[in-house]
Amino acid sequence: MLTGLLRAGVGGRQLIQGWQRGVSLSAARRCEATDGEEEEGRAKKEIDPAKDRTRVIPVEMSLKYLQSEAYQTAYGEDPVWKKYRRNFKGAFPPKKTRKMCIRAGVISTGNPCPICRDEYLVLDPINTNLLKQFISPHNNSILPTSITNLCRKKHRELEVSVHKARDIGLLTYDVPFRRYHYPDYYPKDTPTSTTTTTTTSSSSSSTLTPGS
Amino acid sequence: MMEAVKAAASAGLRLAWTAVTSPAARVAAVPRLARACTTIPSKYDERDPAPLFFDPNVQEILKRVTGRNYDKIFRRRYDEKRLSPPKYEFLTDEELGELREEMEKKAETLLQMPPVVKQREPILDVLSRDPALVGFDTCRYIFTDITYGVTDRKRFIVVRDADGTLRQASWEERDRMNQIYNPQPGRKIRSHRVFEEENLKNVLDREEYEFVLDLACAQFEPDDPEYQRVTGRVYETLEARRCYQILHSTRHYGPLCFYLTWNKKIDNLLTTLIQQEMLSEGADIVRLYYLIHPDSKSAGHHVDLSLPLETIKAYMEQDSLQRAKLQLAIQAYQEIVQQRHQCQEDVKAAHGL
Repeated sequence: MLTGLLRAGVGGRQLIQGWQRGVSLSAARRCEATDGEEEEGRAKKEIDPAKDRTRVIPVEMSLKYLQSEAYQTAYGEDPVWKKYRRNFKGAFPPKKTRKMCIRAGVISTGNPCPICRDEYLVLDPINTNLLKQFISPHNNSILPTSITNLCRKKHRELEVSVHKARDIGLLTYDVPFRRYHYPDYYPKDTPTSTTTTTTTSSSSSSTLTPGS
Repeated sequence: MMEAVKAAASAGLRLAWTAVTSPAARVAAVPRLARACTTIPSKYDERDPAPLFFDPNVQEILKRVTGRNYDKIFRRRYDEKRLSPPKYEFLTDEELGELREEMEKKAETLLQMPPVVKQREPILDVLSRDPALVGFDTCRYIFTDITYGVTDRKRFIVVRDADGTLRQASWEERDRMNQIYNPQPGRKIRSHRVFEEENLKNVLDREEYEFVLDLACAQFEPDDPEYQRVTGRVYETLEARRCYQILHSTRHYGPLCFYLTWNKKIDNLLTTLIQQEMLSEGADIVRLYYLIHPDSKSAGHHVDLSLPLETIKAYMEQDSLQRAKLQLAIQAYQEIVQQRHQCQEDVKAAHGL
């Protein structure tokens, strides 16, 4: 019961201190705690449906959303982060963005980041059209939060999705150049020939010899 | 778009087609192969291709056939590196010549072909059997020699199994240990999931051939059966869709031609080259065929270097498997040449020359 109250955020520091010093709650809270289920039902806050993010949207729905008219009206041809304006005091934004916009399935901020504000944008390896918006067109790197203004949790999710998509091959990139040392695969002193019958002992034999 | 198509049409019919169609259209245009490629890629596991591949004559032919489109070789690499602004310099003619030679040498290094070697045999070498050590631990121990200066292929890697056997490590264990202690860029300890069949099919349908081949070069050794499976699959797909020119001016064109010549599948390649009027490359491919298969019927014939069409015709008459298509292509080419000549004559006559 007490943990339930803690989770709902009622009481806060005072409740924790009360717990640590032994159960010495104030009289008012003791009445709340002893009243039972119906009190718990009423004490549970009603979440504003616009800020409710408990519903999990499947990736396929997100894929359809990106092709829909609603998306077109909302974002047009721009990437989803283009028209987002970050709020901060002073001329220069803080180096880090906020840690997360969604806490316990509820948006806990007034100006959520571009991904958190739209529940139909799901970061997944399959959703390449969304992931590509966060990748630089000049050198294929993931754009920093100073440009995209994502919260740190979503930026981490984005990085994970991009790495997974690159592993599967849905997003391509230029692989570092592999230089071969030909004598490792065919020693220089072995005679080459154009006849079909020669079977030279090639360097890629199964038994390894020390040194040479 | 129309100008590009017209320019492409004058360059060759095949180029015009690729300019107009999208990858999806090209895949669908080969209806019986629009689904998963049904040909099983062949591997180099019986006859050793290495003596032939590293032969100077063969290397020279493959390098010549690859082509030198410097725009493609020195294209921008999307590799997450910091971008730097372009440099503009004023140079004299000599300096320009020197720089051009330097760039040609650099292009040669970038076009280094991945080696084509026989598949490796599994390592079954046992150093000692010590049944007295049974139960010394629940896991195996792998001992890797990390001496500086020893190449990965010559490193000593031995395994003490839980039943006391001391043996040389298998190829998979060797690759894993080498990557842990001597990591190569672009290589993962657990292989990329791109190389699984489903994901590979997906990537090939999007026509990202160079990406897969580069990744295979970075991840695997050339004698790894996985490498040969992946590259064989890519080459078979290219052969089925007839888009060899995607790999032109890359390091993979040489091994592609070698693979097709090794498996006697050069007819479609020759047809494509004739349609694009690259006859000298066609003659080079035929010459490569004679080097790899010296026991073919027309190999003994004298090969005239200045008449590439005659070389191709000699091959077509004796050894070709798809004679009709090749013959049609040659006839079409000859007609085009004749028409062009006629056109030039008419223009000259009109000008009164």
